[in-house]
Amino acid sequence: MRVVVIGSGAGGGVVAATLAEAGHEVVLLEEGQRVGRERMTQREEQMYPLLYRDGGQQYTADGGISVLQGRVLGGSTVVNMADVVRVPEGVLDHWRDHFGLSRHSTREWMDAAEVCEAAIGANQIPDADANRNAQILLDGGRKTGRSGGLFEHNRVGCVGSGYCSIGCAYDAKRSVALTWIPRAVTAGAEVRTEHRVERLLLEGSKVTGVVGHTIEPGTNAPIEPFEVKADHVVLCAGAVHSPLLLLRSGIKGQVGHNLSLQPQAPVTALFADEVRFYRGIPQAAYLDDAETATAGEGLAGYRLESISSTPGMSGATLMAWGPDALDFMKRFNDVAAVLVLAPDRPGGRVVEKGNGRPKIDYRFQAVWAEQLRQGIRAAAEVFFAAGAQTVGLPFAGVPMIGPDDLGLLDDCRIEPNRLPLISAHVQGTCRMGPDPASSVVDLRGFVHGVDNLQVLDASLFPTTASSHTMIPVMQAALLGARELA
Amino acid sequence: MRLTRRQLMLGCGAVGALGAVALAVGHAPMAALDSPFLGTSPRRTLESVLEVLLPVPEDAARVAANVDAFLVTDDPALGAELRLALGVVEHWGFVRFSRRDLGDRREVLRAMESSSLGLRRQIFQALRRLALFSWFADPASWETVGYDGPWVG
Repeated sequence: MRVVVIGSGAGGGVVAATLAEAGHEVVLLEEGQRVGRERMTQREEQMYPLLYRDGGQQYTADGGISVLQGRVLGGSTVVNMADVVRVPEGVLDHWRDHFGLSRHSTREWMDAAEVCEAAIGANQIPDADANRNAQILLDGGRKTGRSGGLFEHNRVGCVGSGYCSIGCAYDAKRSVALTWIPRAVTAGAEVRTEHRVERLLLEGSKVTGVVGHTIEPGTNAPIEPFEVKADHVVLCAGAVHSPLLLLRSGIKGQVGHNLSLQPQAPVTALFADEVRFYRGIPQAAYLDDAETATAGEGLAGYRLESISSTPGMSGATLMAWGPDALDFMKRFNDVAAVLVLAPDRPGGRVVEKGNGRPKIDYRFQAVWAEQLRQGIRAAAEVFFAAGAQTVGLPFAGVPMIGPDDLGLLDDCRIEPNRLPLISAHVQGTCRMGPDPASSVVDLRGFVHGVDNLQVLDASLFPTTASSHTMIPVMQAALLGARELA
Repeated sequence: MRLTRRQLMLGCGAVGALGAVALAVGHAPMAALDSPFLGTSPRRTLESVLEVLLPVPEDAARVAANVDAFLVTDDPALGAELRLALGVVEHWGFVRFSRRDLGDRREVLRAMESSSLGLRRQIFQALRRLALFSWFADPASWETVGYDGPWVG
């Protein structure tokens, strides 16, 4: 059977390899370029345009949340922080009880995780590789009665340069481009980069192929039209572009609805001695005592994670400007930073704008905002317990504060463009479920009403799958691909 | 260096993308004296905004020129978005933004930053990102912040 896979990230890579190894004729189409280690320059202004959707400048319609997605062979696995976190059992229970996802047992989901983790070289970050920024989080966590640890990750032979978010120049991060896709190619899959799929060809209840344009590297301008015939199509273009492609192809219903963004906010601190948070593993440690995963609610609460950033992105993410920004950045080496991750509820929507581009509509939710506020407060308390001189609350116009100033947080308004919010875990726009009235794909990942079209990426999650989505996407993709294999 | 069209999306939130743009063409020949794309008035507004937002106001003309030069070769819709955003800044209030002194401009932008109108905050943050990304991602600023730069290249 000839299978066309659209998108080469955590979903597409797994699907392509699984189906090619099962003997199918696989064509993997990717809009981005193939970018090898020799092109990873560790320069922000060069790597964001090369590796990210819209050069890293994809935003919600109101400009309130930066929506980061990879657009390169290997997708977001090339630019992510390499955190290996499965779908928690509580979330699987929630999906089963509230959304009817009963086709696969928890055991099957976890077995799939084991296969995927082995394929990308998952391993525990050793204590010796925790940089000072991570140690600060764990130290402050201990002193405030919190619990956490170091992540599992998919780096092998990490040199600690710290540039994970703009591509690993050492091939230490075992992205899909270095693991699943080579497996797919070895098994006979054909990989075509710089191929932008624009529409699915539908005849009755069947997809017969896809059409699009090759694009010019650098400008992304269309060059030549192409058409690829298919017996089966698997859509793995991510939770913004998978629904967009369905909408363009005339498949509507719940498509684009139920978007989750899991927006994250950074909190910074200044220490008396050097931290150099931008070196070492950028996101090595977490505190997760305030996060819950239950059958009743799914993922809820908040968690704190150490995080780093490069100078340009740090400057852009700071809410300071002019001389104030310079004063802060002159102490760049003394900065520590954490991300506050608070799961949201599905409620946003992806629609197609008149110019054919996606519009990401999203409204802030009261429960989420309160969780985020609690997380920001916890981050500040952790920093002060670890010895921070001052803490930067992520709100416009709020100065660096001391430990007695935390009350200021109560007056900060969590509204678009008052704080720098980032989404790296876009999910839920092609929800999985048994009922076509409330979902887009069935329990096998097949689009309701179409015989040979699957969606196997973060789009299908009914609610946020986990604090990190690489492994959950791989789990879902592997289970879905096995429906054909 | 030729820049990606997709880097620059429509919508004021995307004006931050110009930060990368401005820096990436930072070593290209400077734009001619006259504004090649934005037009004289929006260019003046942009420089006036950058003088307030950049860590070093004297860099405003260079950053503005780089943005302007880039826009000649990229998506015209992006330039229209930026012109619109700059028009809002320039004409909000009784006195044009670019004719105000530095202190007044600072107060106008501070009011935008805290405005109850979401669109004004959106424009402010987009321009702020443009300014700050451009300046701090530039190797010329790294010594000031103590950043020792990439390990490759």
